Amino acid sequence: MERRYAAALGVVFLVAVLAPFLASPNPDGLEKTAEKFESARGIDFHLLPSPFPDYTVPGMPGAASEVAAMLIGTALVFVLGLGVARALTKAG
Amino acid sequence: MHIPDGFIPLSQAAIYALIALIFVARSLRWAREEFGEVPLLATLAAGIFAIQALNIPIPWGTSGHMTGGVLAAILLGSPWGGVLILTLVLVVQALFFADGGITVLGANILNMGVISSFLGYYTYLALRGRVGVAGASLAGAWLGLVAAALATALELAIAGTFPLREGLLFMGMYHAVIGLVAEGALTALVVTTVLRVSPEILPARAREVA
Repeated sequence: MERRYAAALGVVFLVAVLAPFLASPNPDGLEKTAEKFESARGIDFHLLPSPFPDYTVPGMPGAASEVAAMLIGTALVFVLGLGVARALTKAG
Repeated sequence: MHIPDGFIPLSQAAIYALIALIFVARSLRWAREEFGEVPLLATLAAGIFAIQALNIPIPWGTSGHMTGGVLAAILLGSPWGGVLILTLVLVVQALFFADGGITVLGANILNMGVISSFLGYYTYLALRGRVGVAGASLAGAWLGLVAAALATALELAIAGTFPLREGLLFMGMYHAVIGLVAEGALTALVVTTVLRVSPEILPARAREVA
């Protein structure tokens, strides 16, 4: 069982590390749609400053910065998932 | 299709947040009462975060990525699993990566978590016996993504950010393609692979294939 999860996590982190190199830089469907309408242009409002804007770690160079941001994010979601799931299971 | 801050006025965003909160609360109850596979949930959440960074190019100089709600729902055997996992992913993306606004987190959870997971999962269940797991996964994932895109367009039309008809048209058109190449194909690939390689990690309900 543990080996299954180790293998799955290996694939997950491989995707995380490769994503910055493989991802298309084109705007996504929502961004592309927003470009077409005057009413959606130029809106630039953020409630809070983000620690890793655009999936980069500020101060790190280029590709390393993007890979680091993906590793941090993936690990963060994994730990959060474990924490939430464990807390709920205990409560039950 | 993460809506950024500023695209929906706060008063409307609050309504979507309230609706999303009701579903998120119910998904937590589902996890507490009916779900035991802790590492599976965490691994799926991490995997969906990673795959969401992998934008696949489509025509018209556009791109799109898998959102994963339908995949999570199928592998966890419940649409509430999709709601919970997308909530975790979207919260981290909004708070740490400025991917999707914080004020519109509720709308994003509603679209990609709730609408996508429910529609996609029940489409999968309805079709599985007739067309098999792969076809049903693809159809469910495609429908889930397109429905989420149309819901997003509708919310942005109510907000006055997109015109209604063109918004629905372009969001529907782009996501019909993204839904096929990114969401549908990948969902079918992952579901069939997990069922073949290690079905024992899935809850009993997710192992049924007919």
